[in-house]
Amino acid sequence: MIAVILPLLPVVGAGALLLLRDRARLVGVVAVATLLLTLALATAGAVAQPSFSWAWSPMIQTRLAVEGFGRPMAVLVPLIAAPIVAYAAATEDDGRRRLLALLLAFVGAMLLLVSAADFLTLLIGWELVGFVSWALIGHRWRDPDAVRSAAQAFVTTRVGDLGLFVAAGMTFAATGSFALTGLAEADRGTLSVIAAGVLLAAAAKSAQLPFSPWLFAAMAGPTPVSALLHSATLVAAGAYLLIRLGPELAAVTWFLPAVAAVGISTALAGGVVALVQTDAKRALAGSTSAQYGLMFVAVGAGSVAAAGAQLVTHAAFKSLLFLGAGVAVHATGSGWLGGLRLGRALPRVALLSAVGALALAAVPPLGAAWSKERILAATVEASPWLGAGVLIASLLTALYAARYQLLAFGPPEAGTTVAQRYRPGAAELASLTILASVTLLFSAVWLPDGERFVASMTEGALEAGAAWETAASAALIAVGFVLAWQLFRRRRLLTLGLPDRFQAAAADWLGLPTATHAMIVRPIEALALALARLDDRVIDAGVRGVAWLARSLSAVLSIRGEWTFDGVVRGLAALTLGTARASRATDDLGVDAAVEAGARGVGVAGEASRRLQTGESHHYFVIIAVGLAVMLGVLLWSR
Amino acid sequence: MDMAAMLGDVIPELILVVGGVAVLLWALVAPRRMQSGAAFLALVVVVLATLATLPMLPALGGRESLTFADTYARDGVAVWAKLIVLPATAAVIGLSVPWFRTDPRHGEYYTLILYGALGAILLAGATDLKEFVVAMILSSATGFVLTGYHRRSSPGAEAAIKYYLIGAFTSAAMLMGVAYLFGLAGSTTLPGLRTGLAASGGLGFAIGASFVILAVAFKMGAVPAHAWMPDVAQGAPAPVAAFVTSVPKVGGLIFLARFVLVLPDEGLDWRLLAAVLSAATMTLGNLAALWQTDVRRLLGWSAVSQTGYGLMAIVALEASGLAVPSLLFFLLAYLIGNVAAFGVVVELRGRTKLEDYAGLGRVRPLLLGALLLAFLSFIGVPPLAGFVAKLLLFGAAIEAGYSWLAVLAALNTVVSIVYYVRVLAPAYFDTNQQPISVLGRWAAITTLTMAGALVVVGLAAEPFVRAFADSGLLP
Amino acid sequence: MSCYGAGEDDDPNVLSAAIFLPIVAAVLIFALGHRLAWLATSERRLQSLATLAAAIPLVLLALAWLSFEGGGGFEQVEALEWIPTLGVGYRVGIDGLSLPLAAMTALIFVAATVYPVDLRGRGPSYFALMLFLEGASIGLFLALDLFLFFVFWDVSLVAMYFLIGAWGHGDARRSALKFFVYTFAGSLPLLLAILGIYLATDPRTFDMAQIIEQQPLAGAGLYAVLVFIGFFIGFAIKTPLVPFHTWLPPAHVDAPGPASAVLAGVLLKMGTYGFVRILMAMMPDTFAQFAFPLAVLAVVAIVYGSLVALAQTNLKRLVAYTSINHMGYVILGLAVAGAAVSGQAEAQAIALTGATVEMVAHGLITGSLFLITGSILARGSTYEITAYGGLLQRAPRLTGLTVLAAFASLGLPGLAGFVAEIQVFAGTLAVYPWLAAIGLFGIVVTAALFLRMLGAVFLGGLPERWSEFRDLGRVEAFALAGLLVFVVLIGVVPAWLLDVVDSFAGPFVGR
Repeated sequence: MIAVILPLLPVVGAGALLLLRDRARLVGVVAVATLLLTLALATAGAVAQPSFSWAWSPMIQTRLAVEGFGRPMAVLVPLIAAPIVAYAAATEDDGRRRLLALLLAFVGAMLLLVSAADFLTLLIGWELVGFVSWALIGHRWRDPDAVRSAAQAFVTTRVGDLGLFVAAGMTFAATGSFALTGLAEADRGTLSVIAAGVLLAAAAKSAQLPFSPWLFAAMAGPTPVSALLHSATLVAAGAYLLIRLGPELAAVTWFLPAVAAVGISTALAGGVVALVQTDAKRALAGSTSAQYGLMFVAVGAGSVAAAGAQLVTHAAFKSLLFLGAGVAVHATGSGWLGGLRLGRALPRVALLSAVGALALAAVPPLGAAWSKERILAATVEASPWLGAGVLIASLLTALYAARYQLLAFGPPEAGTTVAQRYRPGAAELASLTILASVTLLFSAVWLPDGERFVASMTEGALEAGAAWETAASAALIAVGFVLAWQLFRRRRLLTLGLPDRFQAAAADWLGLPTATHAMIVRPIEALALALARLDDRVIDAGVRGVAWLARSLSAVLSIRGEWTFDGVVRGLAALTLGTARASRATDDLGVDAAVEAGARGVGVAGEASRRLQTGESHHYFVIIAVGLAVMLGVLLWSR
Repeated sequence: MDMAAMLGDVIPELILVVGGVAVLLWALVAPRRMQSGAAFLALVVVVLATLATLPMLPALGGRESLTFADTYARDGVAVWAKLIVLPATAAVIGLSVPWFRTDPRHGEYYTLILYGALGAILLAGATDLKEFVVAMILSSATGFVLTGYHRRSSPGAEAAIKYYLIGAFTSAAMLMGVAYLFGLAGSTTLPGLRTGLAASGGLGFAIGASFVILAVAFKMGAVPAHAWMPDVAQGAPAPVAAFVTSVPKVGGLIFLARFVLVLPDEGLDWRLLAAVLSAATMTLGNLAALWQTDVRRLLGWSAVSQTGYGLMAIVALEASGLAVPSLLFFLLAYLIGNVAAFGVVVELRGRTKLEDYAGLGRVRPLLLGALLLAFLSFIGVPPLAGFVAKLLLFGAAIEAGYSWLAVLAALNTVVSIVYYVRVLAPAYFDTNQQPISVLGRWAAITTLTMAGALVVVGLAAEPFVRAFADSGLLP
Repeated sequence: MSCYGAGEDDDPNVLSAAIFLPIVAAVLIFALGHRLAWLATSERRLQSLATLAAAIPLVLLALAWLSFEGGGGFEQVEALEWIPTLGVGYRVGIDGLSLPLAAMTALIFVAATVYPVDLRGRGPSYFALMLFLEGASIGLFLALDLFLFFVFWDVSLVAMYFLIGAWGHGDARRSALKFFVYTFAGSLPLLLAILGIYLATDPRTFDMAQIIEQQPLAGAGLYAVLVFIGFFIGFAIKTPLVPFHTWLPPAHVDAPGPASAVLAGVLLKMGTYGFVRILMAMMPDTFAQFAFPLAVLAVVAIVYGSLVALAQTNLKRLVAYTSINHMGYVILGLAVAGAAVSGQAEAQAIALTGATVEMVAHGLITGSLFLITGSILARGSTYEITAYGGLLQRAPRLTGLTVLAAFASLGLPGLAGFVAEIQVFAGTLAVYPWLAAIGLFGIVVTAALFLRMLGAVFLGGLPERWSEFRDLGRVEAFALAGLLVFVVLIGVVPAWLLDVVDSFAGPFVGR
């Protein structure tokens, strides 16, 4: 039963919020309380491993279960969310209730996702997370940019969702059920289709190449939203999916290498982006892609445990960093890294943020360092090239971590007096402190039992790294820090002395968004317009054509219903007389008489019609005569 | 077989003959203000004739046979022809009463109506070419006079002349055809023709046949002798138009059915001929009606197209069990609908311009309702009588292997929607509040009764279908 | 005519009552609407009365639902002789396919009848037509006799023609005429096809159940193909299936909101319903022959409809084209279910269930969307998306309900559309994987176009001219909520619906 209540609880809380009066403290307390309750429940669930299944229909069974890597995730999500929500309650005045309610719903959707034991439920949670993120990113709905960004984020991730659609459908096609456990039965061909779908979905959600840019768009949301969706929810879903399904899908030969390739390329590219971005939050966003890239690498290298550890540790320090950045932006009103250096202005925030930065840089004895090391170990095991890539990535990480910390919270320029004195509220500091301490807490993983604990939680094996690896990565981190410090002192850290154009392009995912817009979005819109025109002009034209035909036909046959085409009729008359003469040869009384009658009739009619001043009667006779001939012909047709 | 017994076979006809004379006498002796008494008298005659017909129903033990030495049929079809024609005639009389009230001496008009009806009835029963000629002439002659009944109306006179000219021309053909067939077969009765012609196919024979068919085409308003239909519909007095455009069709179609069935199959492809006539008639009628701005004329052309549908039944004769039921049901539905439609025109004092009908729905909702029902029945919208008729006709054609004709008929139906809607749309959608003066109770009651009959006959089709299915078609 | 006026028999003819009580009410309202002062004077009173009448079938069908056993086959059948000579009978009944559709129809009609609309001083005719149309539509879904089916099929066209023409806006008459002629042109091939199958039966009958039993056209070769084509044209026009759809946009754009809701929600289903009830059930072999081309056509409709919708700047046209897209899903599911493949009964059943649920879901969702467009037009007197913006500020209720409907339409889980589409795709992936893959593209496009629409109309800055924009009235809100509640119910706990549908779908594909 817990399995059902767990995702529902935050949603109920969200509903409750909307009924409350919009008082910062009141709603904040209720929201946080809900999350703490959820956290407790999740912890209980992680231990009890409850499961609950119910039938959609005789053919479709769905199952909720807190099991496997879902256990740590179920705990992690409310754990990270609680401080973030507290922060949001304290800082966001515009539509606070809605924001908090949506954040809670966000948590609920994510919990549904991580406790899904079949593709259908997974897909439901997956899409709901996306929907809530749309509402959250578009929280400032009066701002058209925010609205557009929200749409971009939703649509981009939905492209990935198609992968999950396919995976779910193929699973059902192959096994007659949606259960995740059914993958084993699927034949190789089907399995590789499923694998492709899963990879697509995961890459899109975790902002891997080529989907990474939507993460920038997601910045349009308030800081707490970014903090949450970068750490424990939306983006985390992709990595979670791979960690959960990676082992089953490993049977597909190309799957792990592909995952690793996506991961490493994103890790490097994201690293560059984070390194050259001049906006605090975007720099962090770049690093998010890069860090998730590393998790992909770990899965690709066959070590879901390392990836899982990375996911958990990353959640803590990344949310910490984001909230710190939020405070900085609050203080200065801008996120431009060139204009922060708030070391003196916000000493405590700077300190807390430093914890996050060190974790990001993977400095021992922080938990993040441990997971990084395990990833390195796994990759070196898998392939030296991959290992080399990871090493470069960790150098980049150290660089941009240091760069961010120095530029955002470094000592101010000599001689500049600290102009503004922004006092972060208690709640903000509290939430930062909590996240920082969680980050520190994860250092416990270095303890003797940490290894086993992680292995059991992720249901994956871990191999310890060789000494040289540890040393190498430590050295690289040191190099990174020194380099950063030198550049900082030379005031070259912001742009690294790169030419502006290159810097700008690199900062914006090396021009990827522009490319996708030009190569995918534009063409589709153009196609749509073309089709719309086609629809109005051409396809309907067929119908209108028929109508026109009927109309003109009727016009030919009758203008006011009268036969007025003398030419036609005279022609017909001549024809009759002609046929008449011909048929006279066949000494045939009937035709003869008929024709005579016809001729006589025409004459009479002429008389009559002149008397009547209507010019038509004789036409009637001709037509009748012709008709008679035709009738005769038809009667004799079959002979 | 003694004379009395034979006379017993034609009591309804006799009643009409005698009744017609009686009405005429009344018209002569009665003072002007009593002239409309003639209408009442005629109505009585029609009712009596109808009552006299009922016992002849096969269902009621009526004996189906030929009589008067095989010259006249009293089979189920003939009986039903009477039962279709007579009520229609009664309805027309009902429409005529208010229409002719202002006419000082219109007594004899009803005689003409009665004899017109008699002509149609005789035609429907004729199993002999001479009988056929008599019936045709009786029906036509009355038709000409009725059409031109308003002596001072030039359109009426013009229509009458055209009607007459075409009639004369086709009658000539008819007489030649009859003479010719007689010459070939040595007999004028249809059974005689069958035996007589069985041997001789032959070109000349085909000519004779097509001459006769042409004459019938004129009577039904089928291509190629259809041209009088719109003129008469427009020019004749509205009640007469209702009568002349519909009632003779009963006689025409049924005689045609009897006639083609005696033609030897080998050599003469009368099915194809009927199919071609049907196709041409319905198509021409619909296309010509498409852009009419004169409602009566529109009705005239639609009458032409309806004949085309009716001919589908002829095509299917003996090839489909649905042929005879479809023929009779079509006639039934068509006559009711036609009288209802013209009834609206009558009730609107012959108002005939399209724009005169705009906003009718607001001022005279019931009249619009009647017009709507009549037109929807023509289109063949269920559950109206016209739908059952079309269903049977299509079914018969398909079963007879003439699916292409059914498809063509369907296409024609689509076309026909357009012109019916061209009347209905402004009548219902427009909301001008101009009062529209109407003729009076009698016409209204008749029209609404007919419109109601369309619904009832459509819903309660079973008794008719069953009876029609059981009706024999001699010889 | 004991078959008319359902109350005449002693046993409770629930279904007949659901069909004919609204029609009786229609006649009464039409006859008395102008005469009774207390009706003529107050349109609100008239509307409430009409709504009550419209609600009767909903109640009755709810009863029928409660006593529905779902043993497969037709239940609660009422049969009366009508034209026995021709094998025509008045036969109605329900199964897992018709019951949900009929219930959905009744629900939509209640919402449409109660929904505010400019009556133009001829309220009685409006409500009479609405109620008449309700009876006819329900009758069509419950009919178990081809003759009866066709009767309801045609009269529904006529009623809708007058609704569009008299209460529409813009070039209403032309659109109405186009709708009437075009769909009637579809109904005649249908009639011919019905005759074609009727003439093949022995003994001759229009009884659906018997025809399904007889399978008169099994191995009839070309004849069967011709009949198939007749049915196909009829249903494809009504559905509508690209390229037979061009009557739809103008009809929708110019029709009054409630009529559009009925047109999209109910009348389109008649086509898809015909596909299942007649084509698939009565001539499965022939259908199987054409299953693949049909599936291709469906995918074309999915992609094409969504792309054309994406390019629309007119709110109502946009919704109209998404209808074409959604009908594509339905047809795709049906084609999969009817395809001649072995060993995929599971997938085919799920596809058929999905298609049926999609019919219901689309009815409720698009019905609400069209009602919403009606409300927007009533306030802003234009459908141009670009003319609006930021309405959330003035109309939170309207915005909330629209967002719900829009996301339901783009297939968000937890809402009805998803339940349908996932099943259709799951089934299709098993039978025609590639077509499914292409079809999925439509899901992204619909998402994009709805988000764009929401952003342009309800979010962003509020233009000055809408500073007085009214939010939804209570009646409107309740009507929409009434529809959307079921969208959510189906989305969250679909079992109550799926069980009923599956009682039909499972046996149908021989699972």
